[in-house]
Amino acid sequence: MKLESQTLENGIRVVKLEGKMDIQGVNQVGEEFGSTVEEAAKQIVVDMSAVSFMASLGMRTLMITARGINGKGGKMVLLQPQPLVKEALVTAGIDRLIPIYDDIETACSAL
Amino acid sequence: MNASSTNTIDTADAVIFELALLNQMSDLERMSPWLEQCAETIGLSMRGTFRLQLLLEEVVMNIMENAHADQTEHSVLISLFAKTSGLVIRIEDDGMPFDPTSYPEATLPAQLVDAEIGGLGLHLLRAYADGYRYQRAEDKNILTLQLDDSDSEVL
Repeated sequence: MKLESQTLENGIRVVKLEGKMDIQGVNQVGEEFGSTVEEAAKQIVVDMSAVSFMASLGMRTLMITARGINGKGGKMVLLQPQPLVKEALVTAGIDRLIPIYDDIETACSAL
Repeated sequence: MNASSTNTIDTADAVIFELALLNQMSDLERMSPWLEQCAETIGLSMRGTFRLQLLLEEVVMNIMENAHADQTEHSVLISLFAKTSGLVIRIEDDGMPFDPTSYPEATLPAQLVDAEIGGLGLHLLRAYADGYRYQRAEDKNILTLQLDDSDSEVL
């Protein structure tokens, strides 16, 4: 897996995950994802458009990170998950905990 | 890759794939490329492949995290039986007795602060399998899952 991050002009940090967020993928980027988000601004968009797989291990990573941001008064949202990943997130009820948006403008305005 | 196929007498119409993993995180990383090759050989849809990987990850991670109180080496044997009627997945481990089918359905959390970090895996396991059966035999947990790929055209 790969991870890229950029800060938009409005100060919102967009963290893009790329690859399969399976056991190997979480082992590769889990810590980096947590530290990148931790040191970033309080408003985080996680771009999921290039993530092709996710099970509960990856969801745990997202939940722990989102909870940490919330604890600091910030907010994290998910952007454009692929259909199969979105189905898994919704089945697990993650969409009720971490909002999912399909375009960057709506995602940013929700923060 | 580690995929192999053989025919046996009692599953004459099935193509069988097997993978033995040790209870180490580094060994688990072998599972993903193995199942991708199996799925390609079987001709599973994208959704079927996704479901197969999700089911295997949930079961195997649960075994790794909960099945063994000691630190010694244990193995998990995964068998896939690909038949025209669908895919049967069999996961066998020598850990403590654990029947995932006997656990009550989890209540999904309403707020992030209330969310249990564990428990998601069993919920997903039930949602993504078309059938499941647990047996305890010869000091081993044997979980058998059914995966029909018939709804692959939905997405």
